[in-house]
Amino acid sequence: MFYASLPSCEGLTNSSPFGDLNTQTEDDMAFAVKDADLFGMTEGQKESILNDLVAAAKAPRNGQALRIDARIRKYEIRYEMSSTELLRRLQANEQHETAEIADWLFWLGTRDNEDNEQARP
Amino acid sequence: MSKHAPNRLSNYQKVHEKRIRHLIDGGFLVKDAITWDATGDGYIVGEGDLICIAGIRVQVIKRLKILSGEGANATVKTVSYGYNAVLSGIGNILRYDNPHGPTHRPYDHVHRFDILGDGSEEVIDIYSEEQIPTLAQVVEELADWYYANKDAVDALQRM
Repeated sequence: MFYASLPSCEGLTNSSPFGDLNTQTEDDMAFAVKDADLFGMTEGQKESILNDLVAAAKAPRNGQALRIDARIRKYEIRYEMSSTELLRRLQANEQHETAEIADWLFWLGTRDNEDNEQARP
Repeated sequence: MSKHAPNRLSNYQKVHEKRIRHLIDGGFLVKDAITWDATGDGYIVGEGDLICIAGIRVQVIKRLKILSGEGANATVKTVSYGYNAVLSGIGNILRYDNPHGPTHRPYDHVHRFDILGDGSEEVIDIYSEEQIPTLAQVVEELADWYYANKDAVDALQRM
């Protein structure tokens, strides 16, 4: 993986809401940049980084798909049920929606490129 | 124009930075640990914590879709998000979520937890676009909550 903004990125890791489930490795993502690094850049540097971020984001999903699948799989293992079963239980009101469940749903939506039409923030 | 309307990425970043800096200057927000990842297929995922005072943090996850354009001038829109506010070592304070599908939680909604009481949870659907807070507004809501309940929160953490 390439991290933008080099000197201050030493030791950079993503801060996950559920850190122990973060299976990200340095090879499975194309491009990442921290807010803290962006904030310290000049306008020209920011533009360059955002250009690169968009270019990477518009590329077909390759290694990132493995990362997303791995995060979903971690939840399936932890909860001992498939994502299909999770969705069934939620629909049947048999599964309480916790923060972890919401995160699981987020990554399912990310995997499937689902857009929540009502999501606006 | 709606505060949630599609926006150029460069402008989105500028507004985001301005609001985060304002929150830090205000003293409630201590650190922004959000990272933006290019996840491919036209999406960018922002993930990480906003670390506040008094052991409060907001676990942020959001996905931006690139609607059109190139580079920093590309037009983006949030298509998925979750803002989970936690009092470290105690539990959740609130969580704003996007809809989860046509049958389970079909609307944007907020989970509110009576963390200073019996821990009970209330889920409120949000039907109006303008009632959906921005991330900065969520942090401001938490600051208001903390300062209104400072003694109780501090006492809870000393237990």
